[in-house]
Amino acid sequence: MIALLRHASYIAARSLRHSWKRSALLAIVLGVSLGLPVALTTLLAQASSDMRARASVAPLLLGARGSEADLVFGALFFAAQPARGLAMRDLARVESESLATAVPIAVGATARKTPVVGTTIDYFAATARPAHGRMFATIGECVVGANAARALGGVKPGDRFFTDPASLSDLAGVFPLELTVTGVLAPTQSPDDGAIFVDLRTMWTIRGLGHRHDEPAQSATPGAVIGTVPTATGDNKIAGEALPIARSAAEGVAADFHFHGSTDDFPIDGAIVRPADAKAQAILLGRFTGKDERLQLMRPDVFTERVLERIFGVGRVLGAVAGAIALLVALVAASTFALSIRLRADELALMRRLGASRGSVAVFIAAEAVALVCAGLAIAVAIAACTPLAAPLVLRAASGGL
Amino acid sequence: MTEPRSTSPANSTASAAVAPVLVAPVLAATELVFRRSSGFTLSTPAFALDAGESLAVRGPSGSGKSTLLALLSGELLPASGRVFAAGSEITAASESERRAYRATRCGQVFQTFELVASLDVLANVLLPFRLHGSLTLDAAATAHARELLARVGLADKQRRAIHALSHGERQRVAIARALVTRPRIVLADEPTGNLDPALKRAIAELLLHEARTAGAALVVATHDESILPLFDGMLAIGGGAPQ
Repeated sequence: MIALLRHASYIAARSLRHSWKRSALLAIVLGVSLGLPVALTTLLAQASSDMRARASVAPLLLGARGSEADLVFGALFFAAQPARGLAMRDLARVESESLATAVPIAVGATARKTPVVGTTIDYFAATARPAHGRMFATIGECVVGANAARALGGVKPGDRFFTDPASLSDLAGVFPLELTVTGVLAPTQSPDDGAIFVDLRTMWTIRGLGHRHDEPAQSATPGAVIGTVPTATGDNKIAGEALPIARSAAEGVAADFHFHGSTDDFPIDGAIVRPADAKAQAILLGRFTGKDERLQLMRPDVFTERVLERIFGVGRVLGAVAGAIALLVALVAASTFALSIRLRADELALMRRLGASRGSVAVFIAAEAVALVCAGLAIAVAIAACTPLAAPLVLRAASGGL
Repeated sequence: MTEPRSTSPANSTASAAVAPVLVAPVLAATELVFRRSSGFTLSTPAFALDAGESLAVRGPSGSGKSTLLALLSGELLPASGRVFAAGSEITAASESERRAYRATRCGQVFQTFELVASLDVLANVLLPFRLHGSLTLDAAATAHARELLARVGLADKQRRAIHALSHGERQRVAIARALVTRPRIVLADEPTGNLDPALKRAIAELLLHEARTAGAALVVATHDESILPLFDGMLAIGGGAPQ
């Protein structure tokens, strides 16, 4: 029996090698059809784990009334634009009476298609810290996530790059600003890895709310001054459109940037709210339930569970479909194999004429089938084993950066 | 299997001073009758072959030459008549015994070469060793296969793929395969049927030479008149008798 199996293995191996294209195709088809449902399940599990982990960063999210999804995916995943209407002064409504602390988030700008996120240092209390360099401190400085650093060409502290000339949401505001990297964040397997973080003032500058220019009176540019306004201390110069606006905060002139108006009125897109305790959370949630309320305070974890429930519902359907497809593919592969055996009827008849028993010929065919199934299983196992490793990349690509 | 009942008439010339010795022919058949459900009937006269002897079976296409070879190899059983081969009655043997006979004592050459495309030349010659448990594929068998390939002029093509060989070379491979188990009987069905005229005689002579060297009885079915004179005897299907 051992000799028969040895000879069957030999003949099967030679046969599979002889028609290696057919063999490889069958093995791959089998492997992929068996591996895909496993990979799908793994990806869903990974995605849900990532989403829950991300939701846990923000006990509550404050934003303008509108889509909860846009608020969560914008403020936590930097992949959507929350509804407009939230301003810095609104944070006082959640921070009053020491009920909570709020971390503002402003999104909507990009640099080489990588999202730029405006926030404060407090944001990093519960997330990543720089693995290299330091946090941003002034206008024009940024820290980049681990993946973003790679996407930007392997930037490191000291490197500079410009933000993209048009933002996704502010088509009217085209204000590229040169950013200087001060640090690269340690990887966290979260959306932070794929983002560029700047101070809120930097984000407002990108949005055109802050700028730096020469003193109009001292500018040599023709048309820099278009008039004067007399005051008690002398004439104030009226700056013209020709006055050059600087688009870089490098070379130690960050302090020269200024904003017109109160920053309390400046816009933000959301705020991570960390209540002092459960009671504070309940009080805060109650504050934003009014019929005419223009803001919303929501629980990202509750929203995430609702989304995951739908995703898993779809996932179950997809899993069933994938299972049915796997079954169909297995049947097609089996019939293809059977056809190939029929095409080799002369070869099998020769074996019989040379003295092989029906059982021996069956063992030869079975050995070939087993080898193909084993190759298919190996591919399926490889897909299943690689899925957790590739899941972050796949999920990032599939979700458009969520 | 039952023991053969016939003796060779060749011993009739033995000296009177020597005690008579009963020597069975390597291959013998009584009158055979085989019928197909289609109505085809094959009748052949009795014949016997000693070691090293050759017999050409001639007849037009469809006359039953291949059927006779199948009866001699035990693939088919006659409606009447008996076949004795290599010391046993094939027609009384079980299916597995006849299979073992084909694998170990009966080499076969086919008109369309019947080689396995996925195996190289040497592996095709050694194929019988992989098909039947009573044969052992060892170094001696491999050495014998290499020697046979050298004798048929394929010493330098042992690792060639079958599709890379000419028709003549493929038939040489088939001849080497038929002889690799050191069979007592070699059956060849139109071995020159697919070859160029220039190759026919060369292949027939090679087959005869190798069978004689191996001491095997050779039966060749052919309708090629040009090679008939090479054989020790001839059996015409359809009323003919061994000459």
